Amino acid sequence: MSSCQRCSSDLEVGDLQCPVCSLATPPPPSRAEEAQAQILRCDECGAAVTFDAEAAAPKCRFCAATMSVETPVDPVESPEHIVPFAVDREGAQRAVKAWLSSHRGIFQPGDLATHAAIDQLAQVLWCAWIVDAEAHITWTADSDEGSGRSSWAPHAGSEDLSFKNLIVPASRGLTFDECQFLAANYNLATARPFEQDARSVEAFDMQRSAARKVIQRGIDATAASRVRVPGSSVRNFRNSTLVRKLRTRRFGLPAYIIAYRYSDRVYRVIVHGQKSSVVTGTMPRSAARILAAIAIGILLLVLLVVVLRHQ
Amino acid sequence: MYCASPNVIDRPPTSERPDPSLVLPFVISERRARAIAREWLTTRGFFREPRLKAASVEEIRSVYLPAYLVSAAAHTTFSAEIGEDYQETVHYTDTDAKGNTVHRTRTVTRTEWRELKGTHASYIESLVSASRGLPNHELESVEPFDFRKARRFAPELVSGWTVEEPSLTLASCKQTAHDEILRSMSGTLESFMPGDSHRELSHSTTLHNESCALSLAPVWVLAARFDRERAAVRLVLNGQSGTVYGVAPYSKWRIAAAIVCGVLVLLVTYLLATGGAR
Repeated sequence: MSSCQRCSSDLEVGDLQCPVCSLATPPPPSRAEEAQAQILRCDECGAAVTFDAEAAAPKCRFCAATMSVETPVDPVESPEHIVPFAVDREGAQRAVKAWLSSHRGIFQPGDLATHAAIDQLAQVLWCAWIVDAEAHITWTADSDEGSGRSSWAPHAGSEDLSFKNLIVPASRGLTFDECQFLAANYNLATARPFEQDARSVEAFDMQRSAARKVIQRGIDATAASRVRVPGSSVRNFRNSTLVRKLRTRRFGLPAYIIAYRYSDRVYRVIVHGQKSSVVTGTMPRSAARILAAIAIGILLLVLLVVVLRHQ
Repeated sequence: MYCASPNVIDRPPTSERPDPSLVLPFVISERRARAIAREWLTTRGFFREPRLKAASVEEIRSVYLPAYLVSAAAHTTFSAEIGEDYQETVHYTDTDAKGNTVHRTRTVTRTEWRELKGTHASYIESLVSASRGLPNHELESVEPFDFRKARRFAPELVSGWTVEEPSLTLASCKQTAHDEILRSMSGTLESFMPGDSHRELSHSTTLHNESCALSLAPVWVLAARFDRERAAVRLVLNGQSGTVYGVAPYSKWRIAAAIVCGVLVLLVTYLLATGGAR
């Protein structure tokens, strides 16, 4: 693997331009040694060939055979490393039950933990990019620091930040928020090279070129959140980031997607694959409890009015 | 093309005219290009020449246009005055309907101007035409090209198509690119400024690690004629996305008719108004 001459980011085989700074990559050495004159002839009939826009390949006008040419490498990617499960299926089920009883709010039905039945339990390796990068971030914002007659004063600044093991979700199966919630608790040191195994590994549902946009956005958002703007309240935050030394690795991260049923409706819960106390999901609301709360509210209002009238 | 003769003749690259490094292959075929041009000709506005609708495409040719993809890391320092608004209560005296003096208050929005200096850093790129035949503003009008679809230059990709040689020097293309970059930087900085408003924005940009990659951009050039006496309308069509650039001539008759109608309407309104007052 080579790196970009301008921003030192990793280049992958087939890159014609740097994904970060769009510097054209030097041609592979073999091409320079090729013969200078090339006469293109059709493989089928020997006639000279032309490039056809509809076939997107050289096409012979005589016999309509197309020749294959090097297609740009823009593959759909698969993980290189996977982080193993540390929570087993029973552990995940117990985690759901524990979550249902401990995270139950006052509007959730009281018998939720005992009456919820687990319908489906799927082990997934959701995919994410693990990103290392350096970023020079320049920003402007208004904050209350140093303000005069107006409550806002303008500020500008720049910072050099470096990122290590930043997780940028690439999953379609889990929502972005779910991924963010899970991301903090993985032990990446346990990762091992990915081999095609029986477990369902989500495919990166994105081509490389599209993926890089997402990665850049991820870096941008994280860089913005790390900037320290002076003052206690901030508005109009704007930033522009120069990314260098971008290095991405594709990971499959373990999680359980669990569907449970409560009074004939299905709800979804995600359990972290390495730490069973990290659980997120949806819970049913009890109509009876909500109605009761509204009734109590109305009663209190009526009571208040009555009391005020009598005074 | 018909005698099995070679389609691509290689020539040694020179420093002034380097070999192309990227090719954006044609996506739009000639048939599609004609259809898109027809569509463009029939959907011009009311004030454009109506005979365009029946204009015939007299000439169509494809060209791989040489263009430099200039990219760099841009470091900009800027200074500006940033306006921060605030509300102020103003006391003033007024006379009411009975002629008495009354004291009133109202809130007005005032702006406090503060100086701000800062930096802006980003990667920028700009594609500029290296051909005299198709000037840069025409190329700009049919941009963008999707460079994710680019391929490394290989003779087989362009065989059978016209490949134009760069006719502008690298230095002059770089100059055009710099101008374009500075112009776009002004726009970028406009939206980078904090505050409710700003004025006196000035900036200076330095480009680091600049690179120029000669690329071949696919372009269809068409000539459509609606009147033998008049020059043909030249259309430039992005061979990748189908975006059309062209200048449709105005219809003098229609504009004149519109002015006459406008004047008539004004006149009638005036007459009615003064007639009503009498």
